[in-house]
Amino acid sequence: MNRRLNTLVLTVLLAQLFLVRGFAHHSFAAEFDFEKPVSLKGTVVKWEMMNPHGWITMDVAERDGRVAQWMIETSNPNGLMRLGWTKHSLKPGDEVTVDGFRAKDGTNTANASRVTLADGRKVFAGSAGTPAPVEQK
Amino acid sequence: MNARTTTLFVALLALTVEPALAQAPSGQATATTNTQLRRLPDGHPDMQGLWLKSNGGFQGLFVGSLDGTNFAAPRGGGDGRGARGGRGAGGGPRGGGLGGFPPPQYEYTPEAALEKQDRQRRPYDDPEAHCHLPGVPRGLEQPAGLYPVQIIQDEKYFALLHEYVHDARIIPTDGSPHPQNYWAWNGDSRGHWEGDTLVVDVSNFNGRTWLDMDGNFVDENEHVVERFTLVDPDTILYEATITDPTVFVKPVQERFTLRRVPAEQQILEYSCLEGERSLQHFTEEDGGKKRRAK
Repeated sequence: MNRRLNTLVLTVLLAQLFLVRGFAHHSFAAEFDFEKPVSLKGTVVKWEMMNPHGWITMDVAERDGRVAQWMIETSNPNGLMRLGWTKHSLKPGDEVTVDGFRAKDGTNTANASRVTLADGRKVFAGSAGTPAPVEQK
Repeated sequence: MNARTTTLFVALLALTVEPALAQAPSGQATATTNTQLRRLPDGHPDMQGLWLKSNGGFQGLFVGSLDGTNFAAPRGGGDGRGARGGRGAGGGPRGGGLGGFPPPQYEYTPEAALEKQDRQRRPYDDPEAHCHLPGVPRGLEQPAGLYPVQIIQDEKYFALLHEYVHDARIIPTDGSPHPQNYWAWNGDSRGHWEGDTLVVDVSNFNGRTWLDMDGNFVDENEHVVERFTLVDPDTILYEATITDPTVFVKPVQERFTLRRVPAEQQILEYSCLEGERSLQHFTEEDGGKKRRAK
């Protein structure tokens, strides 16, 4: 089997895993917009690992140089904890990239499908029937 | 093909395989004495342990790897099938044929059909989003990989302790009747044994629960008959018949399996109100501003 097929198999499998990570508390579509994928690179201000969702507060530099604060909703902490997340997984000052989808209400709110940590590790953080992250070009 | 790829392929292939139970007769027909099952001193099947809904495939709880590829499944008991169902998982909009079990068919009265359409436009009114109890049978319909339920039983009670919102159903099996003048999110449950199947009659609902995130609903006339059948040491066949004459023109049937989660796992705390910050961002399905929140 060639590498391309291996990659395809892995991608499809992981997509299935992401898709089934519903979380039952509320509908994804009630809060977030599947049509508005977002990739945010910024600095962690706070990581709150609490029910029913974890929240990452992060500062994101905008194009004009101003810093905007974003609120990022993650999956339920029980699921994240079983995956290996802890309350120390993110700390203030960490440079991270969050891939997810924007809230429909236009505020600086998004879900996190995936978080790329400062060391380059990409970790799953999905919530609320999270679709797989959209790869940014 | 190396071993890793083979494993992935097997898992992927399993996504397309329907579980044999989907074609199995109902618990009613399979409630015969099974000598292989562990039993309590009273002779009834011992269903105690930690369980998780299987959406037609079973991965167990998601544990132990940040890339999301490890699962805790019972040793030799996992059916090796991948999860299916996508957004249908966990009481969300019902996907087609989760795991080979036909999705529930809701046949509404004309008036109730209009109400369902209205609720679809205001998902922020789903009581689950407000941290209310999910009702029956929704409490068991949690997403693949998350929120197990612990069963504890003796000769007088069959208890369902759900991780999700700390929902607990303590079901008497002593022949006692439903109480009078009592209405609740989960109603009132009374169980009795028919052979090896636990049959639970649930009534006294408050009529405020939604059946899922897609606006399917019941009112205070909801009545549910559940059947729990231990078909092998690691599998419970769950069946529910929902009747509500002021909402549905015919009973709604639900059917899925619960699979055993390894004993080293445990129910974790779920304090739903602690960090609830989502409702303020909810909108209509079309993105418009929400009209009201209950």
